[in-house]
Amino acid sequence: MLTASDRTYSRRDTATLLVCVAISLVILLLPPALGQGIAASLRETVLTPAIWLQARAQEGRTSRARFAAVVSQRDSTAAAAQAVPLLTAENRRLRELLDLGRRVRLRHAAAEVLHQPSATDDRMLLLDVGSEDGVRGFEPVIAPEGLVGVILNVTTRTATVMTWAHPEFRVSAFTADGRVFGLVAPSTGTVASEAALEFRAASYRDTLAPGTLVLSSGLGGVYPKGIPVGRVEGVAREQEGWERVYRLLPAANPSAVSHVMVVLDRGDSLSDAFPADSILAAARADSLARVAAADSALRAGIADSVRAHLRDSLARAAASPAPAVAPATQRPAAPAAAPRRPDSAAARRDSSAPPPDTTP
Amino acid sequence: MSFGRGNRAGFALVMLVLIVLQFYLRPRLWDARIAPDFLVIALLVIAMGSRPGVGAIAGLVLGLVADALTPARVGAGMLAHTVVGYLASWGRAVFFAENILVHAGMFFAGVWVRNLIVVGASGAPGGSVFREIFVIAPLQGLTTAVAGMLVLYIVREWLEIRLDV
Repeated sequence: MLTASDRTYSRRDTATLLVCVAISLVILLLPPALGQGIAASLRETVLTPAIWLQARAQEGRTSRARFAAVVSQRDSTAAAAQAVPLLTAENRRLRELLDLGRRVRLRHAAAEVLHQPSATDDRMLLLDVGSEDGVRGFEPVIAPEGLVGVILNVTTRTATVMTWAHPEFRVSAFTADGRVFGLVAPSTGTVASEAALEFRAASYRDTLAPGTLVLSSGLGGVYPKGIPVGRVEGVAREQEGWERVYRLLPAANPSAVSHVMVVLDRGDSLSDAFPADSILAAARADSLARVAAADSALRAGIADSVRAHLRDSLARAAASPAPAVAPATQRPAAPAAAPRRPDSAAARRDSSAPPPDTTP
Repeated sequence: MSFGRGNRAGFALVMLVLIVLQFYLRPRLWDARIAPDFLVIALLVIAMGSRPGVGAIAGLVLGLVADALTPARVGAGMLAHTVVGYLASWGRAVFFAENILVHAGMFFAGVWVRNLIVVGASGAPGGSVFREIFVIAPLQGLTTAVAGMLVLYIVREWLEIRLDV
């Protein structure tokens, strides 16, 4: 049972409730503009800290969203930036291949290398061209850097390449100056990933300086002449004093090539296709011209010397008393003991032998 | 439960923390429509420690704050919070609830009734009223009940609240 105090409190509470509800209803029934004005005035005054807190919270939320967006953009940019060097390298390689295609005068087919992630990938390559592209077996495969290998097997749409890293690969080669001929083969006893080449059958007396360019010689009918095979790195070994085997730094890396060219025609030479060889050819032509010019000068010098010698001899002969010349029919036989100077004009006239070499 | 001199400072601190949570933490949480309403928790904490008339006044004030900060029609929140404050104070005096689950139910019911009155008084269309009453308000009531129980559990010593599990 409620006491008087409880009843008082209860009435007061009820009255308070009614007043509060009345206030709420009055404000609720006010015109919306007036209600919004009251709310705005509250926001401008006593609720400013609450608004500030809410603004900071919203800022933090949007900051997180902005940060996430920035991180996403950064990741996208980083991903794109990672692809740029690859694209640049591929672009460069394709441009080099296009240049090579322009320089190669023989019929050829461009191919893409379908690399496989295996340890022997660089020994055998798979190309995306086949017999329907005109590719046949034993056709050379080249890259802008030089010789890659030879077609070993052809299907309709694919071809298998035996690269220079394959143990059975051989190519007849010679040095760019044409001085030394030999056979290039992969070095024995090396793993595929460290494959190198050897220039074999070079005679012991021939010494090759490091950096000497070795080209295919064209002998054998498989590889055209003038394809860069590698550069001499040093002597690999010497065999019993008659042969030197040189270690070559290969011109083309089969593991790294992505696009190659299959030479379809068996032409004579590809010397024009590779800049280094072209430069050497130009240098060789220049050298021949110099030799020819020097030879001409030498010959002219010899001729001048001979003419001067003849003039001198004639002058000395004219200065001495000339013997009476009898008719040929009455000419007595020359005394056998009369000595004749070998350099006399008469002796020269009578002699059919060429003049002695006076060149130093 | 009543607030003596000793725990009035603690009570003020709890109210301050709840207001900060309402305006700083709540916007950072997930969907704000179902995030816990710390103003209702504050109102019910006040109502549980005071007479119904005081609860009604507290509801009126907090409703005015809510109306000023939300785009709902001004006055609807005042009416809703007034009724909730009064009923919470009256109900606790009637039921002598000290059980934590009863408190949780009070938080849930407080949010649900508050939302019901706000939606009804602000003249929302029928579809949104249905969704508000049967989807959003129960979810918000649940989250508010969980948060309210946590708050009560943490501040039970300061506010001398007896909680029976």
